Amino acid sequence: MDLSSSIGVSASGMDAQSRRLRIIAENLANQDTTGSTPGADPYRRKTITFAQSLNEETGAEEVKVDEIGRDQRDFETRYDPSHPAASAQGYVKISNVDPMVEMMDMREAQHSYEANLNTMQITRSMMSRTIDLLKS
Amino acid sequence: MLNADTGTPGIDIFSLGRQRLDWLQQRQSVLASNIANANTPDYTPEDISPFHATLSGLESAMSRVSLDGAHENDIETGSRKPNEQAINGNGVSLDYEMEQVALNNDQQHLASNLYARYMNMFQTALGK
Repeated sequence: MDLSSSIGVSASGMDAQSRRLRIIAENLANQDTTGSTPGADPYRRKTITFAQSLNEETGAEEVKVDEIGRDQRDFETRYDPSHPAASAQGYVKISNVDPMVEMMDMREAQHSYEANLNTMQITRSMMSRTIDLLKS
Repeated sequence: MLNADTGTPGIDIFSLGRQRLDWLQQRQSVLASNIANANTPDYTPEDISPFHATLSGLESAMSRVSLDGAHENDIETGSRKPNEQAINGNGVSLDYEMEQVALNNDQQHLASNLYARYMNMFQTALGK
């Protein structure tokens, strides 16, 4: 467990958080995506979970993306008979993305990403100080 | 590594400095893991045994170093009792971890500076 493995740990954290941000962006971009045939399902919100992972080379505990799943929550419906995806009763299913939840998630991902970045910067300065011992 | 044997283990600044830097490096690794896993469900933050615990074993550790030439690792990693827990069972407080990282950084600054100063004393004595 040396300082370069700490940098690897922070990098794995940044990678996981940026994937999370990508999922959030996909969700937000598709929040108005509906089906195109009558009664078809709209976009189903994606979810992401993390898990601990042991880097066997360095022995450090990193983080990885565990699973990218789908939110099984029911779709809400909206009355719009002229829509191509409207059912026989005139209702269109709309996607189960909640922009508020996504925004909150985005803030958290940003926060965690910054924390990892900060740790990496500090680890780097610790490393360069150690190397500077050779210069004195 | 230059090992100035002063006869009294524990007063040898080089070995003490190396142990301190080693400990700080391991602590940094553990803190980085905690921060990377800040959003992992059911993760409990970890920490390593305090430095003075490693110090009390210094004398025996040092005799081991001189005997088999390899540095014996006495630093243990264990889970820390979380003071708050998120709904997904995660016990990492980012603020606390960042504070500890900053503290670790300062302590490493101090330790490496002291190490360099001590090395300078030798250089002065050697007339370089």
